[in-house]
Amino acid sequence: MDALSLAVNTGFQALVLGMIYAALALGYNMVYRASKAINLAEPELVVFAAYIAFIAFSWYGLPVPVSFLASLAAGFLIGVVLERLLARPLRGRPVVALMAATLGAYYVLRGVSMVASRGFEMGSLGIPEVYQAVGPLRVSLSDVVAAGLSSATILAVIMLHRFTRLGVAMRAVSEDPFGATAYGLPVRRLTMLSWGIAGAVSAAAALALAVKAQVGPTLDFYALKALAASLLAGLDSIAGVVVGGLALGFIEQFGSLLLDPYMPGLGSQLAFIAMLIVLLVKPYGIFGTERIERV
Amino acid sequence: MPAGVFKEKYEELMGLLRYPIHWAALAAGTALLLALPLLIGPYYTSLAVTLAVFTVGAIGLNMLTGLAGQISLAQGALMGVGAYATVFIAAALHTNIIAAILPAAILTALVSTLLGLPSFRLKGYYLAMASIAAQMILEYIFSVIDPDQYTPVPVDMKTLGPISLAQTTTQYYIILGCAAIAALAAANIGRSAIGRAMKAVRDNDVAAEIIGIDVARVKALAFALAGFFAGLAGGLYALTVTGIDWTAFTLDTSIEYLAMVLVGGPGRIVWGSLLGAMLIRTGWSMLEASLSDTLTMMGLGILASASKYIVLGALVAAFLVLEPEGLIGILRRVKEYLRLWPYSY
Amino acid sequence: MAQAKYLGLIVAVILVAAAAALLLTHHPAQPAQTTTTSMQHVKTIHVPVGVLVDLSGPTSGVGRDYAKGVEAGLKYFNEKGVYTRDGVRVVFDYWVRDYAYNPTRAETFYKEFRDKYGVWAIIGWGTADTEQLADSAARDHIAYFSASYSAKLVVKPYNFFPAPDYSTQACAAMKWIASRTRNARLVLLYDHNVAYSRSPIPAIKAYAPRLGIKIVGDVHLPLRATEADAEKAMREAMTKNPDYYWCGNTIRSCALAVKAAAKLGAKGMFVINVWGFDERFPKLAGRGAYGRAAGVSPFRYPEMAEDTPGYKVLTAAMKAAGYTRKDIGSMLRFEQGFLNVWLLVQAIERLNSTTLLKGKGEAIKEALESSCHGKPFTFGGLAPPARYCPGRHLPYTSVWIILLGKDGKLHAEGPINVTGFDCVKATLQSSGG
Repeated sequence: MDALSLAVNTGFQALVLGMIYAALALGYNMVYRASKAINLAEPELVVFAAYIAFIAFSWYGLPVPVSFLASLAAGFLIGVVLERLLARPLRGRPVVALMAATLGAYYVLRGVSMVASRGFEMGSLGIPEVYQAVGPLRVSLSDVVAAGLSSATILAVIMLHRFTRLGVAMRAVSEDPFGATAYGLPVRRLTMLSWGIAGAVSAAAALALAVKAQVGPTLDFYALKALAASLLAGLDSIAGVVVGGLALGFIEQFGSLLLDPYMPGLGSQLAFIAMLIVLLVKPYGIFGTERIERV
Repeated sequence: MPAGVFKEKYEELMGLLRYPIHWAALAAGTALLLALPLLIGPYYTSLAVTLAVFTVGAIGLNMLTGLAGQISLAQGALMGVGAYATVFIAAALHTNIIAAILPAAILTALVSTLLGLPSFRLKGYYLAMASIAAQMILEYIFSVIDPDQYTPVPVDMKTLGPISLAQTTTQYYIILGCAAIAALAAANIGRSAIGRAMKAVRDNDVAAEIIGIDVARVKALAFALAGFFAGLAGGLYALTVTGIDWTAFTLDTSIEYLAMVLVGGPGRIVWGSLLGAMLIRTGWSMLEASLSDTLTMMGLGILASASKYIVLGALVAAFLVLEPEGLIGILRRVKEYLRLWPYSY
Repeated sequence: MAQAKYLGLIVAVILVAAAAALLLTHHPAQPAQTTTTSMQHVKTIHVPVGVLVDLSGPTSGVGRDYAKGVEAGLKYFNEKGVYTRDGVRVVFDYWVRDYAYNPTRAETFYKEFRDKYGVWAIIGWGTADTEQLADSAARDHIAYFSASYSAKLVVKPYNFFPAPDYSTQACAAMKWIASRTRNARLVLLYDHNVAYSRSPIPAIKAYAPRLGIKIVGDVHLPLRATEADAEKAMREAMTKNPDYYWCGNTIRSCALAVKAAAKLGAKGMFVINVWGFDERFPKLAGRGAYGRAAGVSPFRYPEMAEDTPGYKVLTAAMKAAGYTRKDIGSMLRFEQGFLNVWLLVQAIERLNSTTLLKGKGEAIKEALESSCHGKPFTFGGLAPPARYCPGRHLPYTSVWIILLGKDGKLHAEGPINVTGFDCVKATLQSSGG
């Protein structure tokens, strides 16, 4: 196999995974905008959402699109519940408290998906295997579905923020909750909606991920790695996640291509190394806004 | 306050043992702890040993999180650093484990300080994320140095002069002693100038800097202490097992450490950590045993496995929302209620 | 805060429940001891057994069916009745613990089994935890039956399994390759950081060249893989132009590797380690895998052994435990669990009641080792006759190769018997122990 085809194909896989990471990172960023905290429950939300789709498809025999919708609905619902039970009562307390609380939710969600999946039954989401060669590139249907699903999700969120009044209102709440209240915006409901949408976005990303990595309890690992994409972009940037996600996808794929023969497994850890470097060098990310505090 | 005891000096007011009842409790507690292995049998003694080990680790994290306000999710991995370092140092120098624990703990303190570097620039959640990254990287390093997932701790390493430490009972006394010393040290650090500086940094680091506290130094010290205690816990842990494997030091371990601190009582270094470890580690082990038997008989074994995550997670979230002071806070209210009874205030 | 009161209440309830549960569950430990006092009038012997399984960890996908097999076996033999050689009824008291594939938790549960229940035998699971506990089991005289067939356990005095070890199984796979293709080229795909995946590699590297197989690559395939990772590993493997691939991981990542091979149009056949291939493989790997993969198995797949007496016992056990075929994902895993129990039962049936009561775990071990020069243990045609010799618990050396045909069905080939080369030794020597 020649170098060109290797580079093209690895690049394409990096692109697909990068878009998935971007969608996962978008879930973090939306919550951050709404509540200024990182939703550490997302990794297990991803596992749960993937299993909802798997259960609907595989055990109840629902068609693939319907089971995907069920998974999105479950993600939305979990987002809303997390906001109501954790974010709202912890408003005004240090953000660290909310993060630790979402960590508790991370554990709860893992237990729930363990029971729902009868002990993490293994399976795939039933995407038919169709391959196509385009020049030196080999594309399978799962690549197309995963990339399509994650980019459609990101696009939908961007459109929501760009073109709808609702999106503008959500932005207002995120920038200045008190001002927004003064203008008569329903701040609580909008925050809740943000969490809900973030949950649905995570669920969509989970489906794309499950198409590429099968359904299983270890999907949470990829969602943890997506934190790096989120940080790279800057936590409060919506469009920046695409850059962050793609950067992560490329670092990881080409990194492990080069490193695995010497240090097996180091490639899949590059995300965390990148995360530490970003935190040390440019903690607010490429597109993030620096916070200035008053005493 | 009970009538009849008056404190005349500042030292007396700040003492750990202030009232006669404290002395009585100390005497009774010491007697009970020394007699414990005879009373409860080998299995529960081994649970007590684990409890002591994890209390030491939780004390470290409690100083970092409860006093200095830095949230860290790498305590499990740091414990791993301590455990591996202890075994490797003992093997390299042909010494017993006890001798290797101290250098290993110091090494862990160094690693921890290194991990704390981002905290000089960052606050709150950024640091939490840095610690997650550090945890994952350390896990990978463990999996490379220990690919068979098993680094044996030979029995001939578990000696102290002529005494063999392979038995649970002897382990119990050694580890109890170490844990007591560690707890005393932690309590003293907590009420000294360093402890107060840490609290100032926790409450508002900018303000702390203005009143002349070297914030970076205090943070570095907090990380070093947390690492030291994690390393100590790791070393003691190596003493209690036949072999160490890196799956004992994963993100889950770190989450459980944080849960111990948050549920037990953040800021209440010794008693909060002890209560948290007791509930989350020991209480759970005991509950799990009976839960598994009952649920397996009903064909619901998976529920027993899942309930650990559901209950622990819900406890953490519930305590953060409803009772930020942790179990200690609840106990204090119970005590107040009983003291004032039958009056309501 | 009014709500905080309830929180205290909840914690109190949990603590009280723990204490109550503790007192209630303390009793089962007793019967084993009480029967020993009056040996003359013994009616039943209670044998305490600890069961260590993975229901919620990374290997739960296969661990769950194994656990069902173990439980069904214990229930079935308790109902049917097990008798010692002199006709005394034996009943198993057992405790099931989910250790989530975490050796540290396994050690905690081991202490519970030993100190609280005084078990005579343990039916366990994974490689890392069983290897870690092997020396303790020998010291405490507890017969330990595992689902890990690691070569390191063959030489441990108290460890048993009714199958050849991973290294011998891999050697049999090499022999199968050599019988199909002369001077085959082979690439090894496995996770370099996982004990189970690494286990048979030294034996393969030692044995393959003797058969004329050339090992042309050693590629890292992560256990936690995405399609992209698998594709990357496959691309690297394909540059070596091999005829065969050895996949040493578990089913999830091996299925992804075969899928990637189909996508890239790789030629060559996958040979997959025992925990990487079972009845569910065709569905997981998809149509592209048809005619492209084969799995190693020490036992006959239950679906292919429906005419054997062993199969009837297996299905009877399944019914006794209240399971239907639908409740069980992979019958092979169920069978693996059941056979471990069956081996324990057969050992007990060879003992006199007094020997069993006096020797406990040691007696079970000696009964198993009595097969060295005596009658072997048989499993109704599900597995070959098994013999255990002191210092070398390798019951037999033959293995089935299960081929996933072009028609999407599984076909058994073999059994293939490894003779003339000690694969266990090859692995033990390389790891220095």
